Amino acid sequence: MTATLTLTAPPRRANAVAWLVAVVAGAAAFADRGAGAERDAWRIDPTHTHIGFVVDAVGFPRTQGEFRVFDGRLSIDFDRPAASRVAFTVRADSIEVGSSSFDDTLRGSNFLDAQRFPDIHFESTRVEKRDGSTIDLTGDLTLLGVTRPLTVEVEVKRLGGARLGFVAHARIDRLAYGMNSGFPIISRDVDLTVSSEALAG
Amino acid sequence: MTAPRARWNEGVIALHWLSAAGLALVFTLGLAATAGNFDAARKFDLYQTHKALGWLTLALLAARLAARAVRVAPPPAPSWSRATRAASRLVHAALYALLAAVPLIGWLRVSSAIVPIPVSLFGLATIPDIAPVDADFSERMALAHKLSAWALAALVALHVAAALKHQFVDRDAILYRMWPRAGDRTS
Repeated sequence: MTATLTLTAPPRRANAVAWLVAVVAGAAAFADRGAGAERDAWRIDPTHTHIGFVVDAVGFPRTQGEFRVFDGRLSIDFDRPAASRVAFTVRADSIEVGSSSFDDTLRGSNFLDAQRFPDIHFESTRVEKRDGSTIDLTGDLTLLGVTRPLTVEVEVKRLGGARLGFVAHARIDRLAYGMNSGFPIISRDVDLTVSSEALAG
Repeated sequence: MTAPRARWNEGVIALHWLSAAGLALVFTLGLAATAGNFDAARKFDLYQTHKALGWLTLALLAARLAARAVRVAPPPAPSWSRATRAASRLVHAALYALLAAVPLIGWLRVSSAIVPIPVSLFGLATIPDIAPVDADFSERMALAHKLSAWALAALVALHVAAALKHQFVDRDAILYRMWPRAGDRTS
């Protein structure tokens, strides 16, 4: 069975990427259970969802921030999780690090260049179950107009009842996308973490 | 005393105290940005505010030098010895030199830094870079900025101490020359 869902993020604190990762992870986690075929839709609890990133720099505190605006689509094959698909788009200018001046700098041409490249896009190419609670979600990430493969590790936790917890990690090498500004003072690695909870139904 | 005592022009006095306030603020922000324990966002804001105010102190200095060029300085107090006059001239020359050097070196440091974060005048204008990107040069400028800022702080302390000594120990009314709205007392 293939279920196609379109998830559009609410205006605020809407992290569709987390929805997507969570739903695919949920599908994968339950794929080899007969009952899984009925669990084709999951609803993310926005109050338990956060998509954040961390960047290190020399002589400057670790910078932590988040993206607040997302949009995505996904298609889940409950019988064959490998056939599931996920696509999402992140608004580059929705970056927030806790200072409007800092936000503007990161949106500017030296970093995200949000005017020229308003969207950061991810499209899955492969979903693999690693073990009982972890999946590898592989796809193509397009950032600053450059497309490179990216693997997201998703850990799935059963929280009891119809609630699932997810933590997804990915490390993005910003130099691979041509975001060279500030290197090597600002690290090349950007660590992405999505934590979320999903509800069945 | 019958004749009005010599004092600075009101415009020069205003610029002096504005400069003093700006300097105190920019120095405090610089200390907080480099030595304070803040998160990345607060630190970014501290640096950006420090840079904008630093550039304004440079603009203010240019205005002060222009004002000095067209306004005659009041003559030294009659009670001052040759040595006192020479020391005063020397300290003031060094103050002006450092008031120019510290922000200029900071500007060079920012301009040549690998991390491209230009000086923004509170979002109203962006100050252009004045040096090519060069990590080693930028680090040397960072050290020079820090050392020259501390030298300026020491000179300001000396300047303030000397003014207070003249005012309250020598009682030669030196503060009167630079005190705002003191014109009332001569009328």
